[in-house]
Amino acid sequence: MKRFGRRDGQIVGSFDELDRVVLSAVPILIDGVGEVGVDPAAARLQPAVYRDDDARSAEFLRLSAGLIEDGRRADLASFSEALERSDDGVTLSDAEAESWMRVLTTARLVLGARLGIEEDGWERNPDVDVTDPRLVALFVLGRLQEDLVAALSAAA
Amino acid sequence: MTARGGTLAPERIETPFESENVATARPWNVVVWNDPINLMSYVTYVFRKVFGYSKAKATRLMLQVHHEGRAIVSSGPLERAEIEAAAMHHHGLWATLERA
Repeated sequence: MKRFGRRDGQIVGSFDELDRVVLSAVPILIDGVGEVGVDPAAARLQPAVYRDDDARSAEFLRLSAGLIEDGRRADLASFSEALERSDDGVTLSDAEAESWMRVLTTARLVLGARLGIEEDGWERNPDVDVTDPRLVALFVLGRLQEDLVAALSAAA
Repeated sequence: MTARGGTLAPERIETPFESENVATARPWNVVVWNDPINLMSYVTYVFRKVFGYSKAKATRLMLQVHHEGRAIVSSGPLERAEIEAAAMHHHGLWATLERA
């Protein structure tokens, strides 16, 4: 069953128990991202924009921090507010759905960084520990994300 | 991440934000790099939304990122390129800037 679809110009999501458990953990996960140098997730969320110029990259980070961090905060607030009013599902405007899309992305990047995933093809690696809850969450959020992007890509 | 590509600008830019006024002939490239987490459909969606590209062009650039490890997704004045790179980062895509 698809987790997201389009109905009457809005994005409608429907979740099972595991989806809900994972979604409810997303704000804690994102709020818990630590400092660069301590938490590998932090570096992934603010990559150096000038590959050979650390000072200039730091300046870009300083100048763009408002744009990016405020955007992430607004996305997470929108996500949390919609999650709060949801039960087995949720109805989202396109703008809310795009916030969800970015929040799911951020959460997946955090999980991927902490799991040390650096190469394509990790989904098919037989050696991964499928009992690791972070990996389970990464798969669950990936499925939600895939369906959400498909619903958003469908003409309004 | 994948191996580094592209070329370095031959001269260092001492005052990038001021020099842009006289350096408009040399645009900046916004480069997006492959990463193992972001979904192909999502990357395509972001290229369409942020740059206004057609589905065909966005898909072609996404596939270039996926297969070649990187793609130049936009090119223009520094100020615009930095805003676009920030938009990429807000969407969780790995973007860098380099001289065209």
